[in-house]
Amino acid sequence: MAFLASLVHVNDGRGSLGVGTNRRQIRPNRKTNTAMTTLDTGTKTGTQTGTLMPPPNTASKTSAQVSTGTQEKTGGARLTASDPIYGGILDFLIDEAALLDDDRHVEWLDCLADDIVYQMPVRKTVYRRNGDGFDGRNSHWDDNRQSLGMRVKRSVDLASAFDRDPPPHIRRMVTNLIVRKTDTPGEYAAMSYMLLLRNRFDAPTYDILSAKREDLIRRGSDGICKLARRLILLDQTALGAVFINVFM
Amino acid sequence: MMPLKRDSLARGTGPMLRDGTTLLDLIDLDRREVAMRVLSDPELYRLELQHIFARAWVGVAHVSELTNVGDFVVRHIGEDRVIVTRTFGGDVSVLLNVCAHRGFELCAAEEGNAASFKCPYHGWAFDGSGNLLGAPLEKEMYGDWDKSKYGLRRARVEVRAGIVFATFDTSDRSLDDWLGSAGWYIDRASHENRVPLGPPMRFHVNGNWKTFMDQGAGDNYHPLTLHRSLHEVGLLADLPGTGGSRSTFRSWNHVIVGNAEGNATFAFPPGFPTAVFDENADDFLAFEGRLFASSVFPQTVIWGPYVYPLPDGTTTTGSALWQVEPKGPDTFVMFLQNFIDRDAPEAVREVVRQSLSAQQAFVADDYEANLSLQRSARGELGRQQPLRYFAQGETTKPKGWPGPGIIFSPPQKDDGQWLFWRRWFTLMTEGAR
Repeated sequence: MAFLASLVHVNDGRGSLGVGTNRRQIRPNRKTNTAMTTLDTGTKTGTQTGTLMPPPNTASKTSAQVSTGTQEKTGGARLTASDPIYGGILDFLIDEAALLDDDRHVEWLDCLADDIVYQMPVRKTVYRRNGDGFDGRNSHWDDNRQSLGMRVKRSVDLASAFDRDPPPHIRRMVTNLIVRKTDTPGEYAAMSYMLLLRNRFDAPTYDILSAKREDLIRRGSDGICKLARRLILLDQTALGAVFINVFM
Repeated sequence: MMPLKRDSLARGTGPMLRDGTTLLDLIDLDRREVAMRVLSDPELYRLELQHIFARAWVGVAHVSELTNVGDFVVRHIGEDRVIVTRTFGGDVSVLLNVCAHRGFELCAAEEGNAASFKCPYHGWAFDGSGNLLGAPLEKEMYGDWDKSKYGLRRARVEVRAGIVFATFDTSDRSLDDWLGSAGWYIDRASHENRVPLGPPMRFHVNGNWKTFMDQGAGDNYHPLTLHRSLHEVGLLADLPGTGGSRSTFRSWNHVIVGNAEGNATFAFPPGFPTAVFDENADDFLAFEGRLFASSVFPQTVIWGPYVYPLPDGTTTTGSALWQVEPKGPDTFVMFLQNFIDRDAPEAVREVVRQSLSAQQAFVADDYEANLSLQRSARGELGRQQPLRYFAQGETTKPKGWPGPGIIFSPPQKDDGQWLFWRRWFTLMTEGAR
């Protein structure tokens, strides 16, 4: 392990890992006067929204907030399940999960916008008064198009990615979709639940990961959807297994 | 060349397992082999908690996690949860997270701020130093009682280079003794100038804690094969001479510093991995900016300073505290806590987060070894199978090397890892005497 950790850190930050490239920012809402930064836990009604707000000082534009919070927060109305746009986004998420389950990772990359921001913040166990424990200062995943591409390359192309070959058996269940408009035309905030089951070798049991996903979906005039942002909010603080390189 | 004689180690036969097996049946000090049973045996695991973890110095936190009075984090020493907190007196104290009255856990959260710790069960309350402050209806219940008798169990604490170390060992063994030569390197990593990037990342790994720590004690041989994906994906393409396996092996060109305490320090030349190791190069001796990783037997790995290149061509540095929290013979929790320069702006933190994320993509290889060895050790024949460390080398200290320890230049053999197993054997037998 020593070798890897050191290697990656001293690799050219602009190089193949895609680290340090410019991209759109999403940043947890910073609460002033608290030592810890937590993701905003949202509404006064007690609903946990995990709302992400743009950072106060970021230079780059954030065209929309990823949020499934209240209508007041997002400024976006909720689409009913009978809305054709809702249906299109649901189809997109189902197809996306199928591409991953079927080990068609390269095609999955086509689902991503070039400026994709893909994050899985660390969660911690805290008392209720301190929020829901999500803390975007540290992440299990903090990826962009380039680093996701590298993970995909590792997942499908390499002879020596031993965690990927034999391929793990993975099933992703996508449910509970809520879609809201955002301030940007053509961009939708999509909140969904994901239950991921993974089985390896001859194990009688599954590794389980469940999460709420807060996505920003960009829908073109042709109806084609791209994933512009994904925030994965886990239901676990110390993950139950090694889920490195398992896309949610 | 091994600095320790078998006789000095094998002073006792150590504990005997229920089937009559002794440690000397499981470890062959002459052939340098360990039976894989040591990875999977529940009885041995309980003995490890008793003889190793309950007596070990463990790096549990960074002082900057405890800036204000009452700040606390809950961490692990072995399987025991401990409260690490800043007291009103300004000290850092480490307390067993178990009420002195009836055993309820005092802190359920893993971080926060608390003026005192009140047990949810019967209400006994303790201050940050572990002193019993009072209890509900205490006059009626206990009359004129001596509260000083009922404090929390408190660890010995030493802060070294910004890292809080703690032990429940009742002997007078100092942190300095526990670290041995690793202390010299830890002191030079500037941890005290950093703050946590955020909360630790944690996940369960199917494996035995020793598999992880043993590899970290000097296995310079495995990257060639287990981490072959790094080469295949092109991450090492810019390294000179990575075309062939032998030169790839040499490209892992850091120095490994072992010691009799079972700790190993990796020291990298500046610019690793693009710089080729040259033991005569003067700049190799310039420790500033050098990467270090020191594994501290049995549970702690201290990293730093990392060098993170920034998009504008400058660099920043960070460091890390890793823990291997044992959770039974077959499981441990990997704990990754990263530190960043105190004044690092958000843009730098973002680069660091992305870099760490990318790092994980390839560290995945190592967890495959943990998983696979655990599968192997389940069977009767598998648990008899020896892990072999017979490749012996010479200590080769680069000219003018300023640090202490038992120093191995590349290509290293199995000596650093064997020092780890000797330490395991020593503590297991020592504890049973």
